[in-house]
Amino acid sequence: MNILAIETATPGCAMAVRTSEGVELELVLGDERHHTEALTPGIRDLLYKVKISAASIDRVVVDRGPGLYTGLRVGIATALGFSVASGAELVGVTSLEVLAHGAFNSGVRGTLVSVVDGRRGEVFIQIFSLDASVLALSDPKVALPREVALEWNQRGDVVTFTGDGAARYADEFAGVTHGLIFNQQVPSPLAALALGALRAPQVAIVPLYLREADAVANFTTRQPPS
Amino acid sequence: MNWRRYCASAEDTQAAGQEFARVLRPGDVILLSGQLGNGKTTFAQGVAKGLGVRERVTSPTFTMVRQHECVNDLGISMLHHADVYRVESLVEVRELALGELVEDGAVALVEWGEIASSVFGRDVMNVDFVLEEDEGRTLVVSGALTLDRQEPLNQWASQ
Repeated sequence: MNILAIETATPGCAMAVRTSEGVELELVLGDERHHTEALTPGIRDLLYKVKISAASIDRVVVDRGPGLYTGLRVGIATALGFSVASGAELVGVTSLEVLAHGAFNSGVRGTLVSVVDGRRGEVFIQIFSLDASVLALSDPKVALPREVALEWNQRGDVVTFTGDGAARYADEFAGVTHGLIFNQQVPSPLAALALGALRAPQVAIVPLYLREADAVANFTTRQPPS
Repeated sequence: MNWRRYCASAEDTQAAGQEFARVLRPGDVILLSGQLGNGKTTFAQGVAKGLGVRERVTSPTFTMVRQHECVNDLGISMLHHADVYRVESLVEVRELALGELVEDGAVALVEWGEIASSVFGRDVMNVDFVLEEDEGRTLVVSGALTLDRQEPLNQWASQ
């Protein structure tokens, strides 16, 4: 099975491919936030290097967030394009679990907090246990960096923070007594691919925004035009 | 903590906006709140002037958002002027992606922004337009973004 993975949840634009012969290759482009311009040509170059055609992609694994809104739209739309054009299966993974698996694959063990930059002073976080495998200990949520750091200071446990949110708020997280930072700006597309290769295909990929998912506007302060 | 500035007239409100531009930095999101006619667009026109926008700035009520190129020494090259009065749901506000667009050396002014404040997160500035009995307005500036702007805000409020 030829599998393509698309990673656009952070300012970096990344992709990976695994061919049915088992050849794996990834491409991680800079953190320019230019997913629209970078993703499709990147995929073309990647497929050219492993000598398979776009039409032969059997499955697309895509990061559905949480993360950069503009990036997620480009990534998911591109995955849907493959699905429509060639009938490729779709599998969604989350940025937070991909970060956890990326850290795990690099040898990080123990308690890990994936931290994705949510912009405007907030982060998206999820807690994992990295032992024999990767186990989620909480649901993804929106948080303030300072509160996360405070909470782990109070717990006093050894903990590793990773993700572009951990890097952006390194001042806060470096202050956690038993806290470490594992530098990982872009979730690994090869980790996303490996994760998505094992899952059942999905009919639809829904972006995970976390903020105000189904909320309606607070119109109570809005008066009708007079 | 907040900063207040009284404006007796539309001219005053515009001047307050023009001087408020000196408080801004690239990446800022400013939510303007207050009832219709309280001066949000007038203030935005002043901010645009202060940022060196050449073209005419009108209410974006029907277009939702307008972009204006800026020429100034503040490092701000674009003003996104939005009005979310007519949105039906927060999804529409989210789709404007203003919080990400401002990262390219821009600032966003969002009229009626408080109805969608959850979309923008914590680091915003709020400007509330309060109508006074003498028909003047008091502009009240607050929000997490003010924390590292105290000096320019003190100066702004003392005018």
